[in-house]
Amino acid sequence: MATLVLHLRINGVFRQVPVTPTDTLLCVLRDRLGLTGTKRGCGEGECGACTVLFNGEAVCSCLIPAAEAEGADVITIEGLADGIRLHPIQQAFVDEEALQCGYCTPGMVLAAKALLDRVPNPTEDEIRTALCGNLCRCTGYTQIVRAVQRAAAVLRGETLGAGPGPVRAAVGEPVERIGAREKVTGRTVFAGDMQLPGMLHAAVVRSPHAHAEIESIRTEEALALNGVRAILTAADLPDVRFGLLAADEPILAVDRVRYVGDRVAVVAAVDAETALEAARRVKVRYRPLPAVLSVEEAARDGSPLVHPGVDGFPGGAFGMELVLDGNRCYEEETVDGDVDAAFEHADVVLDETYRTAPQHQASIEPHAAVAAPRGDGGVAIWTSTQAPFIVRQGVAAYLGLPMSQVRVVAMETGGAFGGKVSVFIEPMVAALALKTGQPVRMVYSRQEELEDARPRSATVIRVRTAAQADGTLLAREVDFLADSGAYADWTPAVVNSSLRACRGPYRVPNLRAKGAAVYTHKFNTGPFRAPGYPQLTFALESHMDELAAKLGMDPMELRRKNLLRNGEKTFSGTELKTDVLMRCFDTVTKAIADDPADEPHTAWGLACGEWEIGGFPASALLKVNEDGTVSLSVGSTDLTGSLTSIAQVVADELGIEMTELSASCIDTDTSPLAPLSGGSMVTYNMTHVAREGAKQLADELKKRAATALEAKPSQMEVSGLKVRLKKDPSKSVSFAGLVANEPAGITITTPALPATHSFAVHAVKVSVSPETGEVRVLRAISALDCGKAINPNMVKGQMCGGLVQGLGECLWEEIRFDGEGRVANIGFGDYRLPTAADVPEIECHIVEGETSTSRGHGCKGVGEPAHVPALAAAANAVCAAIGRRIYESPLSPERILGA
Amino acid sequence: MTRVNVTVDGVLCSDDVEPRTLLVHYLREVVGKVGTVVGCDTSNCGACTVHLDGRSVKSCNVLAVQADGHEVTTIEGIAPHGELHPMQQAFHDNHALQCGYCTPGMIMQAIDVLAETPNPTEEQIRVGLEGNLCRCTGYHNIVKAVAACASSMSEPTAATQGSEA
Repeated sequence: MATLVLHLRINGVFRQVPVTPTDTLLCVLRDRLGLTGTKRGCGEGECGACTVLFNGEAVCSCLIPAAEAEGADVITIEGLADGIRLHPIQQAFVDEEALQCGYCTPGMVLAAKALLDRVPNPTEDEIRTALCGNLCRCTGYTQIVRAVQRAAAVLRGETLGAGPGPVRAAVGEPVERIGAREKVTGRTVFAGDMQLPGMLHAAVVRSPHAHAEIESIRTEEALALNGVRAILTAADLPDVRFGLLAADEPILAVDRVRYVGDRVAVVAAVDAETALEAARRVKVRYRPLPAVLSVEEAARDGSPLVHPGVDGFPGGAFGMELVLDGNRCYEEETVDGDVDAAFEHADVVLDETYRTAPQHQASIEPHAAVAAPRGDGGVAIWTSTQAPFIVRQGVAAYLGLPMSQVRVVAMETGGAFGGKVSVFIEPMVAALALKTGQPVRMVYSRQEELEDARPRSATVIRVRTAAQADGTLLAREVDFLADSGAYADWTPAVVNSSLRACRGPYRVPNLRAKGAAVYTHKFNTGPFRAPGYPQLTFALESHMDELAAKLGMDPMELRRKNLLRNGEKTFSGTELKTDVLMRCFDTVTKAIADDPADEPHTAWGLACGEWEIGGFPASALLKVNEDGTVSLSVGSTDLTGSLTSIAQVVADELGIEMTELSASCIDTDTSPLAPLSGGSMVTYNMTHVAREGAKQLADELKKRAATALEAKPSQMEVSGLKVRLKKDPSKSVSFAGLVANEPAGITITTPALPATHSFAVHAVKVSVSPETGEVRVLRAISALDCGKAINPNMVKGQMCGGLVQGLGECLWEEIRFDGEGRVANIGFGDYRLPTAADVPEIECHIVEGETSTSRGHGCKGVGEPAHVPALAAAANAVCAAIGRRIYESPLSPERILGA
Repeated sequence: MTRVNVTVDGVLCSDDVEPRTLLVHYLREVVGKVGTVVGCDTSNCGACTVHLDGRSVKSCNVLAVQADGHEVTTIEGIAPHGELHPMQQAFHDNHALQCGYCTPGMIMQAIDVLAETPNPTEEQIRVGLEGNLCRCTGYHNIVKAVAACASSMSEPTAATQGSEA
């Protein structure tokens, strides 16, 4: 390809770069110059992750043709700090915990800089408007706005009140997130930033049909393209199926494609453009077959079968065997009490059906992985995952390798939310690496994300509730249908865990709950933040508002009457030891009462939610370094700052500072085993094992010191990297001295903790335009029972982020299909995420006090419960504002005007 | 910038390079062939030995533009189908490597020695390898490996043109 040489100034340095005419400025920065602090999120100017300052203005570098940058002055995130001294905006982002995954952060920081260069004292509205081109999926923007306000004040030279500043590394303190400085400077290496010598790039050949037989695949023309190294189809791979729950999914389609975007072949070439061109030249002949796209239709007898001629599938990573009944891959019914009798004696019965759309995790970082062959015939993989050990298991299964020959390194995840649990990108790059003998990288495009990741299941939920005239709930029946898509993935577990929660956090003495996961000819759906619960809570909490109307009661009173109280049991089996749920409820209802929605077309909506936080056997590795500082290694990935919380607990127990502790995760070759990181389980379980480990390590050091000081271990205490005599702290031995001749370290494993339970109550105030159906979110409040907040800044981050994801789910987010099963909205232009300008500051109330059943310090979980009731609360607000009920999410302007 | 077209390990590479770029830097940094390593930059150690049109050269002593229109074979191109080249196998069988840093260049040079002298004496092997320094092995097993490879390849059908293998 003809090239030209570009001359420009980047971060103050004059550069000459050979480029091709099709290069964008983003390509120049990332691919030609290795400045990978600038991120690629969508490639079409919608997400803002690639924001740079271009002659002083914030622009999406993916929209600037390279040639247009001739002579330009470009500042990237790498150019902002002064050596290791952060720019005030970067420092403010760290101080205000205005970042979580860190993938949008470089662009966000530069967008903020462009604003503050222009407007030194912006209002909150001006900040939100200026940042509305930069999508963040984690934070919900509240802390970002605060960081920009803080930076503005610093840059104006104002002296600030006590900021977060340096704090003691103790439980309950807002300790700085591990890795925050790397994230605000663009130095964090995500999987898609990895560059190995001789690395090839991969592209996938995808099905254009929802259902078709593959008649032939011809690769000659593609292989003849200069630079193409390998093309693999199912015929080149072992005939193996795998999956999270059941083993029903091949890595490349075998004989038949089951959704538009299904993986048919995969190509490796010297660069990404060549790989894509080769993928286009692979000739696949299909014989289209009838497809079934609606979950209700698929559940009916006589529908086209997604897996014809198959009775069931063996277990996958979690060993769940599937027995198929038509397209139903999972069915369950539970009955508790005499439901029919209760319905017979009820004063009021309400029976309604609710529908929810598939919601995408929409992490700003797309799926990405790099694989490199190893000398022993195995493969090493660097990937963006929440489940490195499941990736290892999946790759080993798909490629027929022992786990000892598969090494998985979990890179920083640029947003995950459950979307980075399933195993599909890694086996493809691993197979290509083994075929070519070269490292191979694959990064999904935004279109691929929307067509072939694992979003939240669409559901159809019928709810029937029986109540007494005074509002006492008597019985409920639920029928829960989840659209699994072409493979089971996590959907049977979505059904199973949702059915357990059909009472909502209320007293419902009689319950019949049944549900099914149903195959359709669409992408498979997977785990997404509190799988099943936002959908179920939308149905249950809409139902509560409707029931109140039918009873002629205030919906808040109906809830208050039935909410679980002190001494009652949740469905997890946990007994409430305080009135924590009522405290959450009261906190929110009081805020509502103080700000009545008096204006026309304006209303509050409220919803209550809950989440069961499971226990798992956990392990951790701790060792004392030669100078007495400590290293911690865990096998869970650092989701949402969990690693910081785990480290904080260890530092607290050992009486050391965060700078005296290094914490790392996770390399499957060296880290202790851990299950997937998700379900709000990591902090609950891992802080427990880490604390136990720290205690044991301290005991060992005390024992050694006691010998040296001729005292008893029980007379010793640890502080300041020393073991001291309690009654005379001047008598001490340093950790360093204690390990000088004999290393000290432990691997600890603790059995699974019992499950614990979290509640969240959200309220949202909206105004709805009667002309356009447009919804404005005026206020959003969250009260969340998280046990002990180990790091309150991070707990708030989860609350804000979870609530805003729920607002998106309620108002804008929906993966739509055309009549042929193609995803109709294949980019962030059409799949609309909440922006900073769409949402208000999220008001967070951390409700502590109710401790978990754990024997530790009583933390629970926060990521999932923060999301659970948000969709329902916002939906109740919209329906109250328009005075009509909408039974299907999202509550788009079309549905609002049509209601 | 100057455009070069070089066939590296059987694949045509077209790249813009500065005229002063050394072949070894082109191979490592542009093409990504880091199997070819740099030990001295002054053509003393031979670690960067590759084949240019089938003959061994120290790639730190050749400009990338000199390779324009020619074929380069590196250590990564002599086992294209996953089976070790006979010389690689002989090094493996005879424990002819320790740290492995000089090994790529040593193997490329050894292949060239046998191409020129299919049945060399020990002295011919040692003289043939004198431009390639090894700090670990004392050369003993390297010489053994090359001799073993020569006997295994002296079958009438055996290929002696390593670079084409």
